[in-house]
Amino acid sequence: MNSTSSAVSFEQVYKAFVPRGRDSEPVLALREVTFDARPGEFISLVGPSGCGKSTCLNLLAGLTAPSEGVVSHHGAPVRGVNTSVGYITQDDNLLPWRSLRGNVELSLELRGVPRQERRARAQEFIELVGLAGFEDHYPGELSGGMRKRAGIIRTLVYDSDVVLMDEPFGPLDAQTRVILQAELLKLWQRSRPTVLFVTHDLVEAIALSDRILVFTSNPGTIKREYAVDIPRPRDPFRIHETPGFAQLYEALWEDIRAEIRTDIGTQAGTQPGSQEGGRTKIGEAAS
Amino acid sequence: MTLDLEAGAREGGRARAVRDRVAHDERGRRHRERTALWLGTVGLGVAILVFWQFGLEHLVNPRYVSDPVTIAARIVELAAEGTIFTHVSVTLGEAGMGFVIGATVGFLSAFALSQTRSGYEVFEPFLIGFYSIPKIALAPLFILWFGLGTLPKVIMAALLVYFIVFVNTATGIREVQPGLLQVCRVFGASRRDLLLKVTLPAAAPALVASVRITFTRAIEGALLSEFVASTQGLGYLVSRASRAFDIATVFAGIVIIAAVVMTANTLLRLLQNRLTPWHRGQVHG
Amino acid sequence: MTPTTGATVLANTRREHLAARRAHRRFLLLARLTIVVIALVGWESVSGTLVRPFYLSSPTAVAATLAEWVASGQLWYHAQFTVTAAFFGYLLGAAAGVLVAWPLAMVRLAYRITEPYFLIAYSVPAVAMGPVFILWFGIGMAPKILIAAYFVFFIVFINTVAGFSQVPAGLLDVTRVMGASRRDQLRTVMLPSAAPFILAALRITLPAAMIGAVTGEFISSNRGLGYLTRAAAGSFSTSGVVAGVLSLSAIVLLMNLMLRPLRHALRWQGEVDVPEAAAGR
Repeated sequence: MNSTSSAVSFEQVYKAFVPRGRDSEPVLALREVTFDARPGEFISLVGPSGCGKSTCLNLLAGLTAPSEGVVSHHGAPVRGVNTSVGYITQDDNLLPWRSLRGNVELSLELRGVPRQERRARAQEFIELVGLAGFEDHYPGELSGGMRKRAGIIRTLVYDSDVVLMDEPFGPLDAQTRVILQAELLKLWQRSRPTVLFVTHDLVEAIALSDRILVFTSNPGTIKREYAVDIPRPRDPFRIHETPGFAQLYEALWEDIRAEIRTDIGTQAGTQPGSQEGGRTKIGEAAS
Repeated sequence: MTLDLEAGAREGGRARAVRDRVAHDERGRRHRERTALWLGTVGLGVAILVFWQFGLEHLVNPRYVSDPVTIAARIVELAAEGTIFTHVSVTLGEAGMGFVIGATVGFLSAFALSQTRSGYEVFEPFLIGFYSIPKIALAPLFILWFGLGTLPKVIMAALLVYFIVFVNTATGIREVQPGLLQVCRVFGASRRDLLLKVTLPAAAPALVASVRITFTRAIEGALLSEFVASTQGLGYLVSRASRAFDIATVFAGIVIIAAVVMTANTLLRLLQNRLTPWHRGQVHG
Repeated sequence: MTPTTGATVLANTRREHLAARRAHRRFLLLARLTIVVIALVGWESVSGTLVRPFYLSSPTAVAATLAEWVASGQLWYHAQFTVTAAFFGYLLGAAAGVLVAWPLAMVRLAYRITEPYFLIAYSVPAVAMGPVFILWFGIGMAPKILIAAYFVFFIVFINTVAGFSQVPAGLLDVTRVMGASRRDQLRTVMLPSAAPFILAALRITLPAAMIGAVTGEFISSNRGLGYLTRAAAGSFSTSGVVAGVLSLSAIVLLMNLMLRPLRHALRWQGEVDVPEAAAGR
């Protein structure tokens, strides 16, 4: 695979880190991870908890560096925080002291976009996801689904060519999740960024992506790659009915089942985050 | 792309090498951090002592400035005399008794008041009113009522403790999740059961968590009262020395007070961790 | 009349709810008034009959003393002194607290180095430092200001540090990937996040400054409400002591009331529990 034609590439990436706590042993999160993402591709990363999927995203965002191997963005290795990618985290991480509008405009504000334009672009996206009328509400006053939408549009509003999403729909109920999947696809179609999407939900992965990478359990590496041949535009509400879905789902599930361990807690899924503080996510039982 | 994976071959040699290298780097980093911390802390301490010894007299009235060496000598003197131990034990005794009384009364009264629906609410503004009285202003009244002995000090300490324990207990009771109570009611719990098995255990951690702060306050209360009028105790020692312009003793007393407070704090923190390792509640002080 | 529409049911419920609230409030007012009246009447009747007036004074005597103080201008004169000392002590302590805490909160290592020394200083109750300040700065207003500042400083300091240290790491990460510089992060994430703690501390310490000033006056002074109270005690005027205590608490209550609007400014985040808020000594 020619590396200059790929938007994102991992080459023989290893990542080990030492979790918080005195004298902890280092944990190998990723080993020999190699893959490519072509521009405009929607790729899902699936696998058991604690297998390093989120670590891959953190590596691309530059929040941490690989222990070995190269992580590249448009052919150039990622050095330091990579501000040209968009990152939608699992916690919506909205600033509680800014209104919805203030949050959506934040990224544009940081990039020095002039006020008029900022307001217009933010408003456009707010209306696109049906949040019109709530511009002046604070995150604390919005429902979970609304906060998720806000978290998504505030990242998409600045049109990065690579967007990272870490289980964005995780904490939502099943109905809201499907609705947001459809909205995400609608937003994605507009500018077709390259998307790396981490999820536990296999149905979601099939509904959204062009390709699915299955990770092994810790230490994670790519076990198998699946191409999703279902034609676009896709309908997440009726994804179960599309031909090809059932076989793909079965195959994915078989792969994952082999990886899921019943001993929860042997490798508590701690993920390396930024330099300050560090995020610790306790590994949940796989859904 | 399928990889052949066997349980044993999961971590190849290269993976092991990576882990070892990262572990090594991390150890180095932690070591450097610890060294910097030690150097910095000790260095700062030395700087402070040096400044105190030689520099402070240029800042404030030199007659009323002592120096670390003299103060240390004075502390040793006091210890040799032996009276210092009496003072310490008197103050701690007052604080201790005040603590016990204040905590018990505070806990019980909060409990009693929270039995009725509006009991706490009715009294709340009065509570705020009493809380806003500068306690030292009450010291003369206490001495008037309870004499010059240890009783007024105990009462003062108890008063300071009372407020904290009362508020924390009442809050703890009020914040018991109604869901818990409802579920137990459905299980058939009587009113007494609810009280003993749900509300009390819910309120107790707040009490334990506040022990550290409240005991410190008890010491403060005892000292406060001793400052106004007393014949014994650390507060008395300091105030008498200050009236006699004996700076060295004043500072010696202060150092001893600080030592006592810190020791009490550390011991209580250890105790608290031992008793309730799970609880990290907020304490309203 | 049977309610037949949803709107009617809503209206009825609302009406009932408001009525219940009003009734509740009336009950509270009545209960509190009853308590106050009983207390005052009880106090008045007990004094002179069951208890010597020397020990308890009486509402009438206290009122008389207060009236005398107001008439002679004493109350105003001394109150001014105390409040002024408290106010300047507050400003000094609060400013010092924030200014010292801020850089330390930013550089974790610096904070950890100085932490033990702050802990030692914090372990010395302000009362104990009182005589030291008085010896150093005489009997005027300066030592009172310093004692008040001492009270205030530690609370503000601890809370500023706490505020900065609880900035959610997730927000910092996310804004960094968005392209925020350190200064941007300070402005958009750290300060707003720490603000409730700092403001809560500033709110709580105003009355604390008052208490500090009074403490100073008790130790040694010739002016101020603390002095007035102590002088009354010295001349065995119980009514004077009670009058002094009442005046002081009235002022502190007033301060608390004036600071209420500050809570409203932070409506996006609920009540903030200020760790180890050490008000009300």
